Amino acid sequence: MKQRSRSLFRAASRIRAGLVRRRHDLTSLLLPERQWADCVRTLSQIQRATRQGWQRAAAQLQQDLVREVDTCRTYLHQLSLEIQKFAKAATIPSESDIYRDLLGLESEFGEVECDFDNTELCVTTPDVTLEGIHLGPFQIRLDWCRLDQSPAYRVIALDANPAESDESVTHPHVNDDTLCEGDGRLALRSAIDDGRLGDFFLLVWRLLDTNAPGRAYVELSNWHGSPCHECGASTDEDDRCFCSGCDEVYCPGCMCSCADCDRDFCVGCISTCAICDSHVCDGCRDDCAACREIVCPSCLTDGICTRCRDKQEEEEQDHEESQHLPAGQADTTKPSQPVVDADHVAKKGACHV
Amino acid sequence: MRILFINNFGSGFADHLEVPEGTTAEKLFLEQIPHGSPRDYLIRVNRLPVSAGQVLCEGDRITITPTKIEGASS
Repeated sequence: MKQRSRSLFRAASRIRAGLVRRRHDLTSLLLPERQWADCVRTLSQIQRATRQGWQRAAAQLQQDLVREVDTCRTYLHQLSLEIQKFAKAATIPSESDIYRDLLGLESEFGEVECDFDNTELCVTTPDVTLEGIHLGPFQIRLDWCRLDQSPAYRVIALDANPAESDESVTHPHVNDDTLCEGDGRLALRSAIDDGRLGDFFLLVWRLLDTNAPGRAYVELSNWHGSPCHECGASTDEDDRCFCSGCDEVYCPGCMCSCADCDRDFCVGCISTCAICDSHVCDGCRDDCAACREIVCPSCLTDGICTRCRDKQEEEEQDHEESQHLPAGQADTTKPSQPVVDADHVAKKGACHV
Repeated sequence: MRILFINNFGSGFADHLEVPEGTTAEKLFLEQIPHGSPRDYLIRVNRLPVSAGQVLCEGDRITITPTKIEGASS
């Protein structure tokens, strides 16, 4: 037997041992020891009550015992079903079957690497290119000593072209060398359960060769940039803007400058002056003490916006004119004053209305 | 004749089927996946790619795997 074949057969033998361990892993099964202990204790109490002549107590305890034995029987029945489930599972493939799978993998993917030091079977996929973005080949490394664990394999980008916003994402569905299996999860589980190695590697490859927009760690549309927090458009490093308020990434189109301090903010962190329509940030904006509208510093004097001040001046002028009318025609009403929030004025400082 | 049919679509399953002599890979595919197109699947017989007209033999192992399987992010 050639050296190469010997190596593959040795790997097949190790993999089969891993499959046997996976199949016969009954460590999670629990015997109903606690329930049985309850039965033993109750029976002991019945015997003591009978010896003492406590008939009513003994009768009550007898009912308890019936219930506890039933509980025990239910547990044992469920346990029996669990053990039968293991036994009924498909037979574990022979070493020859696994060896043939490894040969099949070599014809599908080229050389199969058997890393005996790390107990891993390694298959390299062809180059993966999704939506014009070259992600390079991936190496799928199945650990035959971890077949009873999930995940039992890693996906390594050999010529990594990670997402710009997150270097651990080497594929829309791979993060930290772990593939998020999505629609392939059950089929992969079934392939490992049945020891169908060829199908397992084929499934992982098809998952890697598929993009599922909307279900990715990083969308391919944002692979070479960061998504704008407002509109979702990809922004590269040159165009990327950070909001001075929330510190999120935005595209230039979703940013505004404060008319007063000139700092840049996203539309969610900036307000519009009710008088001049200019943008004003939370640090520079003010509220008119009369109408409570948001205004920029340029449109505010002594806590009152220019609109309220104009209105006030007009009313004062009307009042003065009415004072000079002949007797009997005088307007006895006082000029109306803008309603000023006293707390607001006190907070903002001097306000000479 | 009896063959092993493995479908890697969905939850994946393997089952033994009785098929008439002379059944081709394509005919079996269309019987098992009536609404599918062979172009959307990798079809392997005894672990090797085959042509659509490949005639199946007793004991053959036929595997079909979708060419596109969508992953996720969590």
